Amino acid sequence: MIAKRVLSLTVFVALWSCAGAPITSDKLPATEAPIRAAEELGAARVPQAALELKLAQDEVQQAKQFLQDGNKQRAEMMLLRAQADAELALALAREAPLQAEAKNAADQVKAMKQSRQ
Amino acid sequence: MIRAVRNISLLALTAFGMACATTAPPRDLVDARAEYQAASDGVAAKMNPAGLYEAKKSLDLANKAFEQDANSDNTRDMAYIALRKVQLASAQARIEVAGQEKAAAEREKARLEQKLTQSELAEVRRKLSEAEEQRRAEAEKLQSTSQQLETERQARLLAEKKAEEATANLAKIAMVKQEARGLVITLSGSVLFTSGRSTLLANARPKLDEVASALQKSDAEKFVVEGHTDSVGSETANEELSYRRAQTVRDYLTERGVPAEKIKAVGYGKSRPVADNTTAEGRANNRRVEIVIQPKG
Repeated sequence: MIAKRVLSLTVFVALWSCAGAPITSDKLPATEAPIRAAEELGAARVPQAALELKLAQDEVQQAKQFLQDGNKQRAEMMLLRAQADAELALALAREAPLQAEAKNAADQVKAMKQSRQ
Repeated sequence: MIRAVRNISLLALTAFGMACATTAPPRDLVDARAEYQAASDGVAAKMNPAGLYEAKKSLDLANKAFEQDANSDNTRDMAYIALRKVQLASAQARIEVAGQEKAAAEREKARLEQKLTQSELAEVRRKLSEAEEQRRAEAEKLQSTSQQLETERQARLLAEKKAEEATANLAKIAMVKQEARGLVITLSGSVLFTSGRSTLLANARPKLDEVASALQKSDAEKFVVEGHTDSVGSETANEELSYRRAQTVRDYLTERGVPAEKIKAVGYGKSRPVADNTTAEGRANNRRVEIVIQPKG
């Protein structure tokens, strides 16, 4: 009798947990890290990087909505898209200032060479 | 025997050709393939082979997904990711090149600085400062124009993305085909109307809402709603019914926000069948409404 009650209680608790627990994805942190890095690196100031960053942020929101709707498969695909956009945003945000610095250094060398002629 | 084999081969080829005609790869997949090819022939192959290899793996997955199900969300997502991975490999290669160029220029600068006299160095710094000032002024002048262009470009890209998503949503409720006359959305007559009538069924409304949403996101200048029937009944009756049905769909779409001046209704009756009218299945396929999104120009 007691065993039956314990079993019923266990089943009830298990069902209640399933119904109440929100679906999560372990891919979320892997996506949020490059987004944060791109933001910190000033992606918003580099037009193409800003676009990729915006796409990534939108896709994370869509993924969260899919998770709320219980569609984990679509959510995880959306997070992979967001991760790809965020990593590209990060690279583009790194590239722009580096290109400017390289050009600046080359201009300085050119000016020095001209002054010696 | 040989003729039979030839006929089967011809049939297979025709089927393959038809399949290819209706399943064009997503634009992201086309772009990913082209950009990968360019990256393989360019600086990325030398400066970032590991990144390029990752991109290739992603592109292979997208190609495989396309072969398995050309129109699935999974295929579109894989293609999207593959394109970004290729672009990432190229960007990382450019970063590597820029880093090397910067280091080489700084080494050269240090070497030259040792050879210049103090007065020569001062003269160089003055010239560089002048050049920098001039560049800054030009950049400021350009910024407002380029910022405006960039904002427009980003808005266009986001709109294109939304339009692609709308088309993908449409593909879940209707057949969507790219044809020479434009993007054609085909809705079965039995989904929209009771037999012989032109009043919309309740179940048709959510589907037409989805269509209205896609049309509103489209930048096309013109939409045509075409009504089609099977071959049962007189020509006049079929033409009238097909026109009334097209008009009903048009009215509903305009109620839902599609600009009335952009959309017109046409009834073709039984004159444009897409299937054999001698079978029940063929007739069901012929009873349909097509919405043609005509390309610009």
